[in-house]
Amino acid sequence: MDLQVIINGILLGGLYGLAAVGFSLIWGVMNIVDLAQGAYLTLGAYITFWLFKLWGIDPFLTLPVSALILFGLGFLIESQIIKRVLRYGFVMLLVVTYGLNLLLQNAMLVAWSADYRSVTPAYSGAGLNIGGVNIPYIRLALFIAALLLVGLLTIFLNKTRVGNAIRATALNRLAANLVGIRTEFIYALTYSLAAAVVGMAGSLISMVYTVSPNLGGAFMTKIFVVTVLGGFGSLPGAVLGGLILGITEAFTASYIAPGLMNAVSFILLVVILIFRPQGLMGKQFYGA
Amino acid sequence: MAAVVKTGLKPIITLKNASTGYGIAQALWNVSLELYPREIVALIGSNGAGKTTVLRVLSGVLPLWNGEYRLNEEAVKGYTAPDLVHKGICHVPEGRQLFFGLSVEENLRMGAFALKKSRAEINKSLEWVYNFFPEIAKRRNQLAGTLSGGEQQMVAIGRGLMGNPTLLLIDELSLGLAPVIVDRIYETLQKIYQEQGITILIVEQDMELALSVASRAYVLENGSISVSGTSKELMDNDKIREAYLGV
Ligand SMILES: Nc1ncnc2c1ncn2[C@@H]1O[C@H](COP(=O)(O)OP(=O)(O)OP(=O)(O)O)[C@@H](O)[C@H]1O
Ligand SMILES: [Mg+2]
Repeated sequence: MDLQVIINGILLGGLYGLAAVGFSLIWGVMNIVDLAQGAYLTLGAYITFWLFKLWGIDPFLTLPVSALILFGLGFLIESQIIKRVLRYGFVMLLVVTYGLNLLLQNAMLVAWSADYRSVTPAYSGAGLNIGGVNIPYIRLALFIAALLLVGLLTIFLNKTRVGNAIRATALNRLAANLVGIRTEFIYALTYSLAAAVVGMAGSLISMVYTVSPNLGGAFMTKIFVVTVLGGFGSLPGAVLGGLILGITEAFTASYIAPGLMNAVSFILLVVILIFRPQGLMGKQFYGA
Repeated sequence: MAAVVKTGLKPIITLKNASTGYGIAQALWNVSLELYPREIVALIGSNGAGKTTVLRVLSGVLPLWNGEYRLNEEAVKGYTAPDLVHKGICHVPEGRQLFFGLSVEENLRMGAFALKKSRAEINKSLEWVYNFFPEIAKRRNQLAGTLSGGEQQMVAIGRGLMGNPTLLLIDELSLGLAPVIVDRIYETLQKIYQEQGITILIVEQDMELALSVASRAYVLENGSISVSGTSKELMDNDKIREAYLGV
């Protein structure tokens, strides 16, 4: 097997993992399949693009801006729209988040056109060569940034008071309410946090993909596969799922046919679902 | 029959002509009850009578449509469940509702969430709870979802106690448990009640059991309180004996 292919897959997989974390969190905590995540990702990518294009701000430094703007947007959308639809159940939420996605995507199309844009900082060409394997610095940096962000989020969820409240709410909303957790606020917070994280994923992705209003749509299927592979609600699971998808894709593209990438990913998904329906790292009782 | 009022004591809880329901379906009609410091009171009734609904009102999960709810003589209005936990009302819900994916100890710790206590203080409360229920102390690191029914009920009550309640609401403690376990848990509750001087409201369908534990009781029928009195009075009430005890 070609080491280069595996390295490419792993580096890309880290980004997939980060992109899926928000989706996974919203699914695990709120039991919502949030189809608007794609639009949030695209928005994050555009924020980085414009800050880079207009003011020459280094794309990595735009991460906090993406996070902040998307956190705010997420909070607004949860408290004004999602919250009101929650009691109508799963299917209605699918419809609403699908609609939100369309709305945001079209707004971006109107505002910024369908042109393909790219973010190309000065260092984007440089790379490392170890024994014939080529590792572009930027891909390595993106990979490390993605893992760092997932790591921070994991620590937040497991070690802080608010993080505990989010986990408890995920497991049993009524009981969480009865021990004094303001679960309405936890829902808003979870949704905003997830939007901020996928926005940052978009910012990172803009450095290696061309940016257009469709960017998030292309990632949505990957996010879905990664989440189900890893086990929804599990952050380490999202990273593992991301890595597996990245490697599978790189492998399919090099050895089978690039056009079959999605088909092979879905076959993998089905196989995992048959043998381990809770996903690779889905925990007992979570998402039950 | 009027409830027995302990003279000289002010009620901690007063419901007056309380009505409420779900959506448009009314579940309670003009329910009035009072709970005093340091007593165990039972709420009795058959399936669907509205017992759980009363507890939901008291713990703030369900707002009133009409009537009054007072806590320490102060109107409870616009309060949510978290607000009332802060005020010392802990609800051990029907079906236990544990955090199945968390360990026994994590479940108990969550019970103290509202109090913002220091870690040392929480550890002290933990030991205090384990002291009453050594069965679950042995299983502190086990996932709550893998416990037996009796152990789950002990964790549920323990979680309620961790909130340092002045009023503990317990919904159908005995449901699905063997009589020995039920006796064992009620004995422990009696101990806790004596030691802490808290008020406990228990919901049971089994009238004999409820009256043996509580000093007073209210009987709910179709969303209204039909009878109330001391346990002895209810035991001696022929109509009640006929309807609920079959003798
Ligand atoms: N979430 C709900 N939505 C709609 N109606 C409800 C809901 N919960 C309870 N009810 C209705 O309210 C009435 C009282 O129910 P409640 O659960 O308070 O009874 P209960 O006395 O606790 O019964 P059980 O002994 O079976 O637990 C019933 O008619 C029930 O159908
Ligand atoms: Mg009930």
